[in-house]
Amino acid sequence: MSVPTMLSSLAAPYSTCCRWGIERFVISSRNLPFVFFLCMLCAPCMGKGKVLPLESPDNASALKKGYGYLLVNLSVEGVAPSLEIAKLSQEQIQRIEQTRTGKKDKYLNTITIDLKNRSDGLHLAKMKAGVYQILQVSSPYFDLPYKLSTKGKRQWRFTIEPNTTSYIGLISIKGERSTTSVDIRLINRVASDYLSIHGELSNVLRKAPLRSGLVYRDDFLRHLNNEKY
Amino acid sequence: MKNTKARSGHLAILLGVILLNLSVSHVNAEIERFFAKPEMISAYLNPNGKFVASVIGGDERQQLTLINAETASRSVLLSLSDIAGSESSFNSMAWIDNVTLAVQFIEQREGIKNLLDTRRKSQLLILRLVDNQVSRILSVRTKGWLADPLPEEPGKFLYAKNGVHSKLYKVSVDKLTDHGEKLDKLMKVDGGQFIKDNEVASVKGAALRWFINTVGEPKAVMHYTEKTDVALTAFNHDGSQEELKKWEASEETIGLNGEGNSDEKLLVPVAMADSDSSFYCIDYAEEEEKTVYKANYETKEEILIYESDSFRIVDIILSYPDRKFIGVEVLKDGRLSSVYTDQFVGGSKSVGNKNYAALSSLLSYRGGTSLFYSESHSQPGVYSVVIKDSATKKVIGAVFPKLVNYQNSRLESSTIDVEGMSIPYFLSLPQRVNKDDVYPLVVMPHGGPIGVFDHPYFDVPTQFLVANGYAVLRVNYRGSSGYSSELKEAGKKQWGKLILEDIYQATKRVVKRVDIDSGRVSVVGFSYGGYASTMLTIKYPELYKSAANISGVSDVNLYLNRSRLTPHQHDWLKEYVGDSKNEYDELKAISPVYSAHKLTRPYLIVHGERDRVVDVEHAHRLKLVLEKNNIPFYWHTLPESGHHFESTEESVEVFSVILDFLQKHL
Repeated sequence: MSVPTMLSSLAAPYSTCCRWGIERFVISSRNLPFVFFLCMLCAPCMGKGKVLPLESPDNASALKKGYGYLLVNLSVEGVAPSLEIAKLSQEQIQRIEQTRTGKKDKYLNTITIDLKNRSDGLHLAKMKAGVYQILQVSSPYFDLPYKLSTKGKRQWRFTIEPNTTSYIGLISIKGERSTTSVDIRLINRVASDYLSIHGELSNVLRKAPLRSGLVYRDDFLRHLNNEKY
Repeated sequence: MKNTKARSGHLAILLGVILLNLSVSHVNAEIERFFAKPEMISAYLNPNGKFVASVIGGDERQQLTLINAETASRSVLLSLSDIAGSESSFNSMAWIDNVTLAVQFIEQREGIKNLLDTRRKSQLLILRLVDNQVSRILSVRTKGWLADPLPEEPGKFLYAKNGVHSKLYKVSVDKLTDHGEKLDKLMKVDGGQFIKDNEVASVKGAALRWFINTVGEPKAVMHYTEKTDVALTAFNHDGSQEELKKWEASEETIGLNGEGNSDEKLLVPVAMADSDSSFYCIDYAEEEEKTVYKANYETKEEILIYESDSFRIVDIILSYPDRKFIGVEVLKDGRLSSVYTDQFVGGSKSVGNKNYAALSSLLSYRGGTSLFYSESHSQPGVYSVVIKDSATKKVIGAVFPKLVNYQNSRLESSTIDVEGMSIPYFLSLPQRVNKDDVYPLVVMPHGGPIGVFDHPYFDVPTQFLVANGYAVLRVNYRGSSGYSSELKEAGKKQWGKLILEDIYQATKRVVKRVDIDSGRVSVVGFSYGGYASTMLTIKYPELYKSAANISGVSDVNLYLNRSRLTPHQHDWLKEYVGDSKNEYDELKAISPVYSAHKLTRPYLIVHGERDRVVDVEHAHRLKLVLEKNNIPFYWHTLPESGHHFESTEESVEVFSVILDFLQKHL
């Protein structure tokens, strides 16, 4: 692969600000400096997908068709923690389930959830129905390693169903850390959070009933509600 | 809340869901006696056999103490409060000569905000003694650790220092400077001793552990060869080096969060055994390090020599001077604690029959003095010395001094055949006062359940319940370690099946005794034991009249789907407990939360809200189901506690609740 082709293949899929015509742009040695300049300009955006806003339960906006709520309990500390999520295709799900790893998979259109300064407690996000993988949890601290890769891990995968509230658990990121490890966990706390979910989300749950959003099977909620499953 | 009838009664309907509270305000002084922190947890005999050094702790701050072997009189050498703030501790120690003691001192300090490992500083202190008092406190300022005290060379020791090339130096105590002393410009750090002339051995890469023989010669070193690969390299007589073993680690094995994916044994050497290629090793591939092997890397022979009953092993203890394996250092209640073996290894002897269990280990023989550790089923551990040819042992200290000779309980060991397997169990009984005494029975299934076991020696919770008039049954059901690999392996995928059957059959056998009240049987357990308690009282309410579930699993699938398990732990759990993905319904069928609506007996739930092994969610799931079904239960959570209730305060609180519950419902 030539250098210009490599540059364009890098730029095209990842950078949202380069969407205005890079595919029709003919790269030649004459305009190579311009391409290089363009790539440098777009570098900060490369690899970053859209940022998904979180909403507080008492201020949740209505769902669009084909969308559902992601419900998460947060307990996050640290300077600028964030989550990186990707929607999985059926093909990807099958491959990851078979190989038990998704490390080599390419995840396009990733979504970032910025957790900086988020208050502890329940938060909602509107998401298109589908299966999602939390790819990475970041908790930066100076120059120390700060990313926990969760690619391919079943326990970090969830589903969103239309017109439902999909609870995935408590995401805990501790501010205190060692030089080599960060304390990051996703804990299924559907029973522990049950009262606060019903207390804080009563309006939301009327339109979008609560369900277990984690991809692994968990019959507890249905058992509690005497639902057939 | 006596039985099912209570549920159907009008009162219960009116009350709806009742969370019954157990009062813990009237904390029994006796409970504090039992759950106080251990006072003396290690002892070191000096070369002439005249003095024993020990860290005396208890619930007070640690004191480095010198004990006269002949008179057992004590003098405090150094009090932790004199030199450090809270949370600091004295760790291991060694005599360099008769009047020089080296102590590893762990200091907790402010450090960098939010960076935990900058808050801990380890330093080697050297104490010079004159007339049983500390005359000088010296320290080694160079970062490293004591590799060997060189007892044959007074005033000198081997010190390990890491770098691109890691080196072992012979250091002289006389050239060290006082601890905390400010050095002027003309003074060299540590007397300028870390130079080529004092170098004893060297290896490329960061050293993890040096192995020194009985005459102070370095024989091998475990060290990094690449960023993540580790090798065990031997030093030959001609000065050449030979790689005995190499561990290649992928990025997965030593990642950011220490995750691993190996499903094989990972025998890491921690001390030399009886030949240059034979080592005592700890298996780091286990879910927790609980097994010691003796491995010969030339012949590839591996012999299992010790299994810890439940606590994680961090180091092993060798006898002096023959350096035989006599015990392990375990992490217990957040502190290092010595556990001595009851196996006939290295001069240790065990005395065991059906009605008595005792162990006695020879820790050290120096200058004609023998230092022993001994304990029995009803007596906590004591350290004692025998001087020269004297026939009597003089006790110089105890692990739980308030419990020495406190009670003389009885122990009966037996086995029962269940489904083709011989299942051992221990029955502890109060000392009989009247011939016709009959005792209520508390069944205490141990945690784990795989690779953990109950030993017959002094067990604090058992003795506490016995002191309160209960007989205590502990069953080493299938899956338990400490007996045979057959028994351990038979526990595979038997969480809710034959393990429960083993406990049930042993209980049925024991309640037939004339001294056990078959109408007063309760089951109390921690962790897996909490799970077993719930399941047993649901399955056999006619036998188990009440149950206490402490830190127990209520939903097996939830337990298996924890997010922070390593691939190795996932594979291990899949093999030993079950596969949540493909066996969900089987695991659901053995999960208490899905059968809790059948609970008819008084029931107690206790859980730490910071439990990182069995999340508090397990307790909340039970709570919701019981509330929904209007089944009353006792509920007690500890906001700051984890899976194990480590502090004296936590233990006192938990056992006060348990005792209160038993007194009401047994």
